Amino acid sequence: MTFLSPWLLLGLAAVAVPVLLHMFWKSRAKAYAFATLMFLHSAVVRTARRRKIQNWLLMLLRCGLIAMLTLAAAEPISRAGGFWGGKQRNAIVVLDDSFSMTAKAGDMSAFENARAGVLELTARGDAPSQIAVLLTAGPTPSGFARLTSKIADIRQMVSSAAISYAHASPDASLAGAAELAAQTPAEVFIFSDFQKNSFNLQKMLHNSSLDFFKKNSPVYLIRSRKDSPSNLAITNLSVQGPNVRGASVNLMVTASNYSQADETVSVELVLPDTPPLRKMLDLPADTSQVVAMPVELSQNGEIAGQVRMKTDDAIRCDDARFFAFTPRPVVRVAVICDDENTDDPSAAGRVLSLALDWRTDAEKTTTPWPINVVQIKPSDLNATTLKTVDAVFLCGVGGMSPAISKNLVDFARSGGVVMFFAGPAFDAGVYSSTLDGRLLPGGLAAPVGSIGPDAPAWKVNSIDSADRLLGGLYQSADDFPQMNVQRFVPVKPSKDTKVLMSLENSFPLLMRKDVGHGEVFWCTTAATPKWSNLPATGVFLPVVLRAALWQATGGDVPMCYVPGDFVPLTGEGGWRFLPQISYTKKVTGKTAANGVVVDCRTAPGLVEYSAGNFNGVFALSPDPAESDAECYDEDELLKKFHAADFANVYIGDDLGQVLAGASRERRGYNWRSLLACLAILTLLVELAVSNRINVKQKAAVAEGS
Amino acid sequence: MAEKNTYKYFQPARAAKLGKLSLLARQCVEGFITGLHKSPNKGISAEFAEHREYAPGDDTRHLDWNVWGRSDRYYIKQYEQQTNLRACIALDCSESMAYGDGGRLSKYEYGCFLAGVLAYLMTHQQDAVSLAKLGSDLQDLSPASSTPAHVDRMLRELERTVPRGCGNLPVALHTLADRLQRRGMVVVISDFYSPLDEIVNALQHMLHKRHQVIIFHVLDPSEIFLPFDGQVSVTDMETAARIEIDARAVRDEYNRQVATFLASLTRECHQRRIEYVRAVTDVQYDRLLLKYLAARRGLK
Repeated sequence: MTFLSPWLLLGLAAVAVPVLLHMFWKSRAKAYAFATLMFLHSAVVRTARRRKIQNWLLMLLRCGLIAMLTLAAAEPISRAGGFWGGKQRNAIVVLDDSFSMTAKAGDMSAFENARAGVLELTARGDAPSQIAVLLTAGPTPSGFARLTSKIADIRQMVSSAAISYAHASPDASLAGAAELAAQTPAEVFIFSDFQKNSFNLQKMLHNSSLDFFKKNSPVYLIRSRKDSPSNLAITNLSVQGPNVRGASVNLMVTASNYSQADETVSVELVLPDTPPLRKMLDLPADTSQVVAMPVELSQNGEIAGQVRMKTDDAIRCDDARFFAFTPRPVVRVAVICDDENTDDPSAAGRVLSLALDWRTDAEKTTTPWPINVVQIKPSDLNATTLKTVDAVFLCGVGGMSPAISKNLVDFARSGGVVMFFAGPAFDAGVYSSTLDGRLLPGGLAAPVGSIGPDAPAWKVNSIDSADRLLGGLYQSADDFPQMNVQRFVPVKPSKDTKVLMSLENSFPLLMRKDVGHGEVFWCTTAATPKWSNLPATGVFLPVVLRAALWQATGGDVPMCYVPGDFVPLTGEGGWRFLPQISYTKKVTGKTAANGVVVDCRTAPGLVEYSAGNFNGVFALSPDPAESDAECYDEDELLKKFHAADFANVYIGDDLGQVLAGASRERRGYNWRSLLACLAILTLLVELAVSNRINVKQKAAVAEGS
Repeated sequence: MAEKNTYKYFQPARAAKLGKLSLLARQCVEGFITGLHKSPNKGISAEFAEHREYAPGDDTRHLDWNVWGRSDRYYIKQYEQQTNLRACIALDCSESMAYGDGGRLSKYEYGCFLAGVLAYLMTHQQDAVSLAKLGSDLQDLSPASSTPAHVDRMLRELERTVPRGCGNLPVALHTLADRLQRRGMVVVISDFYSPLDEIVNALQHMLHKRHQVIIFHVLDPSEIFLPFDGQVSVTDMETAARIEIDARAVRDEYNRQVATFLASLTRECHQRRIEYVRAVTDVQYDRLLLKYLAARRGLK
């Protein structure tokens, strides 16, 4: 039995009033003259005993009346059957600690509201005897994710709980709660803003593991925030361009407007020792836009900074996004050719070298460029040479020894790029017999086609424009016919070879093949304009540059981590995190092999670390999934839970309201009405006993007979 | 009757409504003049009673010559004698009769009105009326007379009298019974607040003296149903005794006791052929009498 307004029970002290009145109060009797006391005397004597009993009865009735009225006012609630009726009461608290909870809800943040709600739950008169606390984003401290009767410890843990910058996983928390409730009957209290982005209710609530839970555990949804906050955030950051020292790249900044109003924001790129670069961005309501911020990768070491927007929105921590990455060293390319003994400016080696690095010798010291090219004779190609380069371009090399072939395979497998061009010296038979099959694109045949102004030419009729090598180079298919090929090596491509460009006679012109961590490219025509007009087209230059920078631009540049992620760190030995530059944060985390798992409560920022003689920086940013803080309204939330067959779901904006509603509706019978009826009945009995109601009809006075 | 005079306890207009009704004795009464009532003596009257054989000394005027002609015997015709009534109106003058509640007439005033009208009716039919004032004993008994002057005196006496003192109705009735020499009608007007057995004994005494007894039991309505509420201190008007009661607690018992007393008195009267009339003061006395007299004559 519980009371909704237990403080009203103080009124029970008034029960003493009738007792005191009966004991000490003497009413002042009015005086009357009467014809005779003959009958009154007799009536008094006859009723003496009854009046004595009546007085005691009246006192009891009046005490009972006051007691019943007091109890009715306090609204006693009896618990329903099942574990409600038991003395033991357990609660599983799911506390949303995701950073969307930092949005203000009244004077406090939603998280502070939620935390206050949990503390109130533990401090109530009918507080659960055992409580478990599950956090939706951050890992729950050990010992609290199971039911414990150490309420003081729970209170301390909740009081010191901090926001997590990781994405909330309420489904995992709810599943954990269901598991606990299956072991020990318990009520579940979810304190959250019920952010739509985090609460995938369709998936979360229709989980079969919740079936027992749905029917048996009351679920209280305490909304820490009523309305969806207006929020602007930088939700993504990526590098467009080769991550190579000397290259120019674009930081692609995704800015999102999660409010219902159009906004114009100033986006800033902040780099150390560099004036901020600002761009104004118009963001219509509920949209995202990408803005490019150019960055020159000319300096040595890490590029670290932040992109931020100036707003005055509800959630501040996602207004800046940090980044840190280390550009790769300049890519070294070896062009293998026999051009040294010729003055022909259209020799394949020269054309290719010029395409890869356009700088003169003088410019090489003053102008940064991501590629450094050396020309090597085929005879000088060996394992030692391959160790000094990142990419090898073979221009019409006639053949090679099996040892060199093997060295090339190892080179490719370790991440190197090998690109073959056909040429006058190209011997298909030698290639087929000496070259390792992992380098071969398929079956090779002798070159076909004649060269000359009147010689026939084949046009390119298909291009895989979705491939990284060719993507974005073509506006439309009309660009294809500009390439004419007069002589080429017919190839029957193998299954593991991807054809990127084909001629109208169906033979491939350009192919790619994955070998280990590296790539092998095949061009079936020569890198000289003598066999085709390919080197003169707009495709040739970007294709060879992309092939050379393949490894530098391939894959995601690890520039930003979310708290809770594993961050691989370069270097060896124990990590030591240092006090950082002005916008870096101190980080705590669990060191792991080759990296660290950053605590999800670590505030976003730049983290500088040192490992032995190696120093590095990595960036932490809040999980963008939390930035869209639109939350479910009460009806919507309740409908979803009911649709998922949750039998006992109660919702409200504060704990007291929810519990009161639940008490009235479900937790048990409210005896107020019955007590009020009993009080009325007692009052009537009191009136009858005290003869205030003359229940007997007056007898007619007969006249005489 | 002294119409020029006004009386406190007599309203001629109301009495006139009852003027056509008579209050006849239901048994033989001993009067002193010829009247409406049956006398125990045979005498001169228009109403034949019986034949009796002539005896020397009888008045020959009463010989029935028709019988002599048929049977050659002398018979005397005898007739019922009718006489006037000697009525005694016995009014309780104890202090309890002064009780009246709610602006109504006190019981004494009500009784005086009854007595006045009854006296008027009786003298109107040539009956002699006397007035007896009852207190702790018989306080006063006026001689019977049928003259208007006597009624006037009676009414003035009632006006002068103030109900006072502790009453003892049985003793007063016993004394009255002893004082009334000739049988007649006794009308007792009282609240009868005495032990029932003593009252019955006193009435029995009256009956033993062969009086016809009519009782007017005068009660205020608030005496039948206890009027008080809550804690009250009640003083007896006759004895000045005081009692504090919770009226709500004793009301039922009081009402029950009064009802029992009334029922018992009524029953005892009926058993003794005493006419019992309950006169509750919230009923107008002339209406009460009209109803009573009409019922007595078998009229509706």
